[in-house]
Amino acid sequence: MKPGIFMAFLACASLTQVNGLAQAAKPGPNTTAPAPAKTIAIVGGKVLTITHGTIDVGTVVMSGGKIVAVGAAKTIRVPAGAEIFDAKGMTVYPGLFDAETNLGLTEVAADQNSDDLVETADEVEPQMHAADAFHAETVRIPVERLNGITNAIVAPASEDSIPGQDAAIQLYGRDRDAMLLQGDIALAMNFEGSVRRKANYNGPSKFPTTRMGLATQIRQAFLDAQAYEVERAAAAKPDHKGAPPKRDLKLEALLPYLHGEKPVVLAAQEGYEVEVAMGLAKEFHLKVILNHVTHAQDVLDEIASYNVPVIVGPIYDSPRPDERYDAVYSLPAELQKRGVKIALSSAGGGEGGSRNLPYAAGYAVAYGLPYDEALKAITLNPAEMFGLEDTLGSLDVGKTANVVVANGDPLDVRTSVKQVFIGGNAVPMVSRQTKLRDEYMPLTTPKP
Amino acid sequence: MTVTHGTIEHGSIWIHNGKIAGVGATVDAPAGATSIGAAGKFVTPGIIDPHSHSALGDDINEATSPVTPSMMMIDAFDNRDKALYQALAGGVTTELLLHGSANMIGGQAVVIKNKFGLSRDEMLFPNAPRSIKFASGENPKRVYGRRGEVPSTRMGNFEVMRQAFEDAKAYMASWDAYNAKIAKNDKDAVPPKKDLKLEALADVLRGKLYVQIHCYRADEFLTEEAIAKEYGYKIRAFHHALEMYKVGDKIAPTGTGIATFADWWGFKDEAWDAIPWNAVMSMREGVRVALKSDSNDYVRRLNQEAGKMVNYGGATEEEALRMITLNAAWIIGVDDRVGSLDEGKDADVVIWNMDPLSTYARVEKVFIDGDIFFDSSLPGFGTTHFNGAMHEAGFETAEDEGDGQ
Repeated sequence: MKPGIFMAFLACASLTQVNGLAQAAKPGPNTTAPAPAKTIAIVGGKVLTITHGTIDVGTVVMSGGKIVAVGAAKTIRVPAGAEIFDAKGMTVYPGLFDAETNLGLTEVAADQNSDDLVETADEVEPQMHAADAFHAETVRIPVERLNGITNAIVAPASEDSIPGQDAAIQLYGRDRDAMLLQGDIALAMNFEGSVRRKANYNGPSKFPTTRMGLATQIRQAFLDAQAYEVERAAAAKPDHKGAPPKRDLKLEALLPYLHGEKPVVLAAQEGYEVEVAMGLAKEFHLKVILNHVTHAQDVLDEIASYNVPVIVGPIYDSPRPDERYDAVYSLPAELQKRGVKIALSSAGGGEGGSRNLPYAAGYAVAYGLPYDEALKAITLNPAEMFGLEDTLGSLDVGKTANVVVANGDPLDVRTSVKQVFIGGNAVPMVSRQTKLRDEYMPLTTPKP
Repeated sequence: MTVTHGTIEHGSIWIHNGKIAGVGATVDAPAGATSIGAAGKFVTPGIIDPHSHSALGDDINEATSPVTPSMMMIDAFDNRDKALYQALAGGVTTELLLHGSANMIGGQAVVIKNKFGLSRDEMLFPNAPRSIKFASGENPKRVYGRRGEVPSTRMGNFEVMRQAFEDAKAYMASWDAYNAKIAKNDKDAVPPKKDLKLEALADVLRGKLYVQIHCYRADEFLTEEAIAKEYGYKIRAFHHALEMYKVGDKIAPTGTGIATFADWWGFKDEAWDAIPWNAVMSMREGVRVALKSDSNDYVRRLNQEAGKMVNYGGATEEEALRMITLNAAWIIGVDDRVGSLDEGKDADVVIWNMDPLSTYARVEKVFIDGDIFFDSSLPGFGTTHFNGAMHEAGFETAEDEGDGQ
């Protein structure tokens, strides 16, 4: 470890060193492997619980990888032997949850060898599993988590109508198995003009070149899956004669979604696309999380009437030439106002990466979203949408101890994250980028 | 927030004839002056973007030859592009519109004041220095390499440049010889043919053009400086400059500035070593640092990009703000006219609802040359001079996403 990092840590927690950092200092065969989580108490910070308000001077106790106590500092007894993290003057909040990323599916965007983003030979490929390509050791994950992102949905890129199934990850752990919370947690679906196979840079046109084609193809896929299920059920009967039908991985992959057991993340941009997509979803009784709805300002009341959650934006998508400059910035506020449960995502991250997720939430506040709702949109709400609210999304006893300590408001660009805890472990605050920073840190002192 | 002389709590600015006539705790504005209340607000100079491709439609790269110095971006400038409006609503008052990075030597930039709604001519920054865009690294070698042409490597990249300057020197020598004959009243003197491409390169060598170089890697900064020295021109700024933190101590003495991203990284191999501390570390080494958008998206919130510098490296608010105002103005060569709230400068002024380095800041009013161009309290677009229909912007994210293919 470079002296610079050690000093930075001392500045924020002068009392006691917690285990993750001590461990990172050791040369190791594998310093990424978290030790069994000890008991750590984060003491004296402003605690944003998400579920039960803000505690001005609070304590969060973590043990065995879980949160075991949260409350006002006066009321919480720190267990004997607990390591103390002094968070006086700092803000303590749950790890952030990015509702759509491509973490572990790409390294250098321009380098195709490092991309496992999406299969494009077909438009309907529910049998593709993001978990199969998830590269746990990507350089990107340590970079993102240093800004407080502790959990994410990894989704295939949006080139297909049904590009595959998403995975939920934790951004720290020994290896793939430890970091994958749940593979196939949701089905990615896109009903957008960009999915059409029109002639473009990559090759000639092929079916479907229109939204009619996209819709009919999706409908046929679900009908085929229903027929497959009937056929399979018939074959399972004792009086069935002949060989059972050949197992069809593609159609089989759709069944849990046809049964409403798991959500589909259904992306559409325009109002009319949202309507067509929701029509298809209703036809097959899909459990929907709407995604993007970037240019659906004309049907917001209708979206509210669907009573489904929405992953909004990214709010940085450009308004149309006939729209006011803030037409997309204000979308989270407009939906929330109508009672829609919203989440925000980095949607693949862009050039800055998922680490900028909290700033998108802050910008939504600037354009009308209540602050507490913005925090929820990057913590509890996405956890609930994907059925992970029992373990993630808030500072509550019994949940996974994913906790962030920062020197200020988590949604402000000027704030620095000082320590991230994942699964109760203090994550080494080191990434490839901090290593480069420390290697080249100027020796000169700043000029006055 | 003056940028040059600190923040004045409860300050006033007197604007007269398009210029700042006074700034301070009190000003000597005449009794009849229009008063614009800004109590509780924050006031900054207009934001300046020293690297934009807005309003150039799909005409950013003339990617048919690696050397195209006579391309004039003014010829592609579409003053009704919605990207200009969206930037205005983000407080951006001056932009340097550059050629793309497909070519080692691209075209000549246009400098605009973002007076959205006025005519093309009225939007030009009067008497701004001329800039030319150079590139390096992956983009030129990719564009030409996949066609089986030179350059396909960084070796080819730099050799293309050297050859271009050799051609320009020969061209200049032919004119020198002709002018010498004329001076001696040689009646048989035949003028060389005017060549727009070589004229433009000659203007580089004559020091008449600011050289703005798209360049990512540390080794390439050093090579570019060596070539500039060899041929006798100055580099105004490296753009992107993501590895400047590695060699800032060596570049600082050359006087070359940088226009960099706040935190973009990893989108290509030559951005793999990008770190968000680059800007502040380079600044501490003595390099003049500006932040820029290279994007129709980020141009709308350069204030937040500056705010990140407080986090990444501990810039003061004034240092951070300078990166999107005065230092950006210097890169364009208009720092004597804009970029700070100082008496005598153009009255390009933004009123924010709160500290502009906060995530929560919104632009309320934008003045350019003392005239109001944007007021968020107005219905509709909030524009004061624009009528009619906007045009769809030609590009959305970064120059590096496209290369004229």
